[in-house]
Amino acid sequence: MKRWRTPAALVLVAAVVVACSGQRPVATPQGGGSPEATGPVKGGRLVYGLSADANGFNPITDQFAGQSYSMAGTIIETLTSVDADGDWKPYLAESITPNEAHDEWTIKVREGITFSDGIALTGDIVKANLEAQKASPLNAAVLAPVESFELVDPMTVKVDLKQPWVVFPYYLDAQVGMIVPPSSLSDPKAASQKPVGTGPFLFKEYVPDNRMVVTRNPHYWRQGLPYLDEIEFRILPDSQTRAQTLDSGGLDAMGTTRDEDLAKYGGQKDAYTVHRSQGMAVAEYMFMLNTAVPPLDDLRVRRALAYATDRETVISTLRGGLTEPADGPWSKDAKWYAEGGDYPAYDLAKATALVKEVEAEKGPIRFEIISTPDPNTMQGIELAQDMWRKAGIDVSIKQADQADLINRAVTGNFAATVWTAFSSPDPDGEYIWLHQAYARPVGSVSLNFTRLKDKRLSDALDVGRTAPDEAARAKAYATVQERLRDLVPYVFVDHLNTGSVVARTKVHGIGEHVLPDGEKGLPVTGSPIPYHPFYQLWVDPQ
Amino acid sequence: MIIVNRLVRLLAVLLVVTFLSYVLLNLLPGDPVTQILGLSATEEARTQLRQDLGLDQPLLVRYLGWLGGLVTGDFGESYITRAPVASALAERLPVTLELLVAAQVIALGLAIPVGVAAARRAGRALDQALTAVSFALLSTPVFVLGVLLILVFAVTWQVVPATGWTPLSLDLGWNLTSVILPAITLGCGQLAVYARLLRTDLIATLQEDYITLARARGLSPRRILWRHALRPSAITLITAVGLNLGALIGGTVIIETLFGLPGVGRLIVDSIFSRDYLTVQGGVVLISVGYVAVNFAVDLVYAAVDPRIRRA
Amino acid sequence: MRRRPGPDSQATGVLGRTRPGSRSAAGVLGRMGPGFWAAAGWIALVLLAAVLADVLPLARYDETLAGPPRSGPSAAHPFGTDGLGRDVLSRVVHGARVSLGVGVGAVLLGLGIGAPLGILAGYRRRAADTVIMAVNDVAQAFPALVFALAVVAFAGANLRNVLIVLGVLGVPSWVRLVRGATLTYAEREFVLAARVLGARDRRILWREIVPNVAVPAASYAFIGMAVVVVAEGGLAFLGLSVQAPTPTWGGLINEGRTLLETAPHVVLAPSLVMFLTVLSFNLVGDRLRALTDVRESGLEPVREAGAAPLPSAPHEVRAGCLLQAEDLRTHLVTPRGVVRAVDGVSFTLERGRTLAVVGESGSGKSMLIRSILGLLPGSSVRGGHVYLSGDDLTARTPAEMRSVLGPRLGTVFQDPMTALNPVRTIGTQVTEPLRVHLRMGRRQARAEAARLLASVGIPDPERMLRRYPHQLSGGMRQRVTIAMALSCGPDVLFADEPTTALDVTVQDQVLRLLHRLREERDMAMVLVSHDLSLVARWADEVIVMYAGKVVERGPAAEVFARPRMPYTEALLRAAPRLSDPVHHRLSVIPGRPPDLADLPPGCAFQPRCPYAEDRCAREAPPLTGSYACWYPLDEVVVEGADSRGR
Repeated sequence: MKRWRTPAALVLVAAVVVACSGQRPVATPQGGGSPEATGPVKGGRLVYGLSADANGFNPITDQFAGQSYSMAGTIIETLTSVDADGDWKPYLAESITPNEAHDEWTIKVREGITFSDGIALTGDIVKANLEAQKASPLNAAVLAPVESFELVDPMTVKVDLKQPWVVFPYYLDAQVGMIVPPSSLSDPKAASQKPVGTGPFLFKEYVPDNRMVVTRNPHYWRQGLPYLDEIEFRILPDSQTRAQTLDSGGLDAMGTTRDEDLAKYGGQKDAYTVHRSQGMAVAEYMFMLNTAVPPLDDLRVRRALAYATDRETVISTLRGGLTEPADGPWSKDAKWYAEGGDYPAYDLAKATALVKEVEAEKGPIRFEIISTPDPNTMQGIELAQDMWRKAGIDVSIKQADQADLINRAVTGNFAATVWTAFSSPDPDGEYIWLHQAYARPVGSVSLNFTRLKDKRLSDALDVGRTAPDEAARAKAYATVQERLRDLVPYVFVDHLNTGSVVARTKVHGIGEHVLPDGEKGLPVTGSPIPYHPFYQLWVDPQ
Repeated sequence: MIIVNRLVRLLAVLLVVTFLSYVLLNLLPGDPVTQILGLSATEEARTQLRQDLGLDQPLLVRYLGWLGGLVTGDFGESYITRAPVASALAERLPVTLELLVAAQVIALGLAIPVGVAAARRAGRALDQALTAVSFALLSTPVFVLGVLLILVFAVTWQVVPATGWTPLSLDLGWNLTSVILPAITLGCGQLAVYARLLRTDLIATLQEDYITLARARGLSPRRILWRHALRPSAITLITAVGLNLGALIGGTVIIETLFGLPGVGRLIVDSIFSRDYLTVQGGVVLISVGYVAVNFAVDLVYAAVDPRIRRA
Repeated sequence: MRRRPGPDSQATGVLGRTRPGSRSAAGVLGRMGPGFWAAAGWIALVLLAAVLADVLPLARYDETLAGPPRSGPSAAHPFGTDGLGRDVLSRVVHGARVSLGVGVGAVLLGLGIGAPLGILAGYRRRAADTVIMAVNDVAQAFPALVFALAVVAFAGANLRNVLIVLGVLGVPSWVRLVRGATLTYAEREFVLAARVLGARDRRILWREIVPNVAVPAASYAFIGMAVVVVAEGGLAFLGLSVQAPTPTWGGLINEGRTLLETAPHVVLAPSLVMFLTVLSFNLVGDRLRALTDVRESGLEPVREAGAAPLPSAPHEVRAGCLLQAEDLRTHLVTPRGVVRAVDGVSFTLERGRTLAVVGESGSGKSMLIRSILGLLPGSSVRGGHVYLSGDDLTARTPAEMRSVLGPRLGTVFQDPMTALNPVRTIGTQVTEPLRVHLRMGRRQARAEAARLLASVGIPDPERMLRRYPHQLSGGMRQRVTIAMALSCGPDVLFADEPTTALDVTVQDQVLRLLHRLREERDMAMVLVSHDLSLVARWADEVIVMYAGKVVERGPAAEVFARPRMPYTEALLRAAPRLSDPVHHRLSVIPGRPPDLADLPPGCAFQPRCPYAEDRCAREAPPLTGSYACWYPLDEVVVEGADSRGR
């Protein structure tokens, strides 16, 4: 930005420039000591900025998004957790073991844990929770393979499955595996507003669309934890003012997806730390195509779109060059990533040729792409629209609000839309979105939104779900990636690892937590804005 | 009599507005089930929930059911959070009201002197400068103004918090510092509108014979402006203030989003987007009552300000 | 000024008299000043750019990466590029189409629907008002976002629908605003009078209400335009505006705001263009309106020092004289040129005497009074001197003047309907000078006010103090203004056509009252009237004014009996008859009063004078002795005028 500007602009922007180049909040250096030198300190308060409010904190009735996990996760804990290697590990469970066929899992509940209301965690509470989850309309599809739950002894629950399911415990890392006390089960409405659990913090205050405050649970079952006295979650939907609040010292940490923030705070290493999501947790940014309606039912058109999409340019223009181009659902640093297949990389000539070929047959290619109206999303679509225009594809943009967009995606009332997905810790988490069994005709509810029915892809997904052998699973998911590259139900753009947590340097321990049995936990996870546990966070004393 | 009249009118307005908005909202694509269940629910689960929520019933039946509840003071429950709509509104109304009042105090407190100064020097340099500033403020959308104000006052000078809300009941000082930036942001545009309107009317009033005669009685310009000219010039201004107060009850959404305030505007807009019909209906009732009340107040103020306007 | 039927006060009358249409449009526009032309030029530029956007040599507005993203202004991209590397100039130019279309269109739509309804509601009241306002409440209380969502969902996102959404959403505001403005006029005297006189509603609406409501409405229209253009940005933000990537100004600002810290030009360029455009519209509208409308606050005259005071002839200051005017001149600087409203008037007035100033409307009588009192509009230049007991009033600053106005100089204006502040009680208004000048306490001032009201013949003065002007009859109001003028015991009372606006039967009462008061209080009085026969009874001396000059003067009885100037004779002949309407103009004198900005050479009355000779058109006659005329009438009395060959 060293170019000449009009004097008028200069004058008017003076305030901005002054503010930008002026005082910067600097973290107080605590005797220059590094966290290793001083070690965690008990006490302190953390103010943490979130982008959206939760729809309620009851894991059984309320749909959880990233922010819900951040807030409710301080109070309610899960049966399993994922470690730094991406493997699931028991958390509230002491162990979870499959039978030989992997169609039966035995959950042994950890001893000596009590809910904050004084009730001890037992097998029948876990069973009641899981049963309630299975009965909830939220998770009917996810828990479809489950036949029944059975209390084997007071601390053991057996899960009977209809089919082998080798990665079942991964699902217990999320909403399905969150365990609430019987009082919450019997009064779900109260549980929505005032969550109770076994977690490191206790519910203190919740003002919808404003903040949630939690305080230290003095009787937390993990000795010595948590460090913080109190956490205040601030709900600040506007990413720009949220960042400004961090600048002004009103926040200690915040979640963000803006590449501007990564560049800005990443450059101030003395004042801020930036924790970006990585590995399987990284969502993919893509254009989702409806393969059941013309013109996108024609593979050549889908391939032409991919050929015309210059991923590098999108990344340099919209992401400040911070992300990696994607050619499949999993990023290259994830352990399930595999090469293979013929993904149409940017090649305008090939795109144009394909378009000409189709046009000669069927006439001009025209369709509508749906977008939510926020400016960031629109920018991506407008960029793509212009790229596709250069290949001769006439795409118009229709803006639809969230409810409308989801409704259209589910019922197939769309040609293309912008989408982010594929952030499950295990590839099996994508089963319902990709499997042909979940593809329904346009007009009825289909969880396979692209409505791509491919037997090889679906068979591979089934193998991945049922084969206990890791190598076999890896091969199956390689096939999944290959088929997705060949059939182009999604035009992949990039691995959206700009989702990150920015914290002042006085905040320590983000992404450095240790699981109950000593394994290092998965750093930061989830999308678009990642989340992480709070129990091992600590702040420099004031 | 006037009160009865107004109540009848309020009821009529309530009926028409709530019915129309209910119908229109229900005709919009998408429904709360999608919002509640998200993407991964099956068709059966969706149908089941639709039944549980009573969304499978005919529109009119649902509307009448809601209306019946309203008569007994029951606003219903949010589809999304399952909390009572009435308590959600009651929680948020003070925030929006405080924001509105603060913004009006700031806007009027500045607009009156600015309008008077501009009118007094109509056509001269000061007036032209104030006109330019007014239009500059009008041309600056609140989201730009808000971001600039935060940058200057919260980030650079750190005199007020950038965002967030402290309820009045918790701490008066913090409450005031948390309302000041949003109120200025909201008030600036209105300040410009008010000052322009007042200037126009004031210039017209200053041509009246009674003003010349007041001068002929040796009264000072200051006295003439404030005591003689201001009140007869205030009708358009009062109208505009009334309009704003009414419109802003649900229209402060951008400010509330920018500054993270838990106000009514965000509730209503979020509810519209999540198709939370009953919450929207509750908001509509609130806005309708607010409008009718504000309009009533405006008419009373009309009569107080200008005794010639006698209500029929 | 607000347009009002009835005799205009001449202060503004001289300016308001001529209609702009009577002169060439070019001539008018030539006087608009550089600001107007800059603004008009900018609007023309923006409009032209919007129309020609497609043929101008600009980059495509949707061409991404036309330059490096977020780069500042450069030769290739004068406004820089946006986040996608699109040319901001091109986007601003193309954005003008939608934004101007929506801005102008929505305001017109809102005005077109809202203004008639608002006028109807404010004028008709009762049923019409109730129905319209109830519908309006419905429209206002309806959630705008639901409406906008519905329109876009069912009718699609395009310019027309956005225009409809914003236009319709603006209607309730327009209704309220116009109704509010109408309310203040619907109860005004001139409207009530017109209604009582049986004028048709349509006529009243068009002649009386619409022109008055138009002023605040126009002012709001320009504000509204800015508001609508910004609101469109809000709709764009919610995805309810025109389809992307079609640019709009509001949308551009929205898009750019995330770049505010890194590439502020993306926000600034459209903001600045928008600001200049709405400002220009406002400026042009303001100036165009000013052509038909004199808007002068007139609160304080411009300090004369700045405007090169007119030189005055040497004269003698008579110490014993109560009021002395010497070569008093008042020139108004208007866009049409200098108007010589008062042009060299001199007179003296002793205590206990009444001076009548007589002339047609526009002859400068009222201006003369205002010149003496120093109550001139800002654009005037005063010359000559006024002495009050030998003290030069023209040398006083406005602040110094205020100690004289009221305590020593009292004033009564012609139209009691407009002379009292409608929103203040009689009591407040009558006590005000007492409290300000005589520093009386509230209680004392009220007692004194009641006594004053009683002295001007108002029954039950205590009750009267609590009433508002609109509750009083015209005669009563004039008595109140007289009481106010007398409150501080002035030495000179200026009565500017004190009875013209009154009922004929009341006229005599009021004049009788004034005369009685003058005698009781040993004041001097300056009585201004266009009706020579009326004042002849009460005046001791008369000066007759024409075109700002004194054309005849002398003792009242003498001038009345033996007018020497043909104009005086004509005035006498034109004495109004009882059957004439109240505001009857003296049309019996042939021709019209001259344009004071463009006086004929020679005698100003010459074009209308039945006795004019060649010399009258060449040389202006000086005021020699008691008259200014080359060919004065014989010493014969009025009846003899016929003998001059008529």
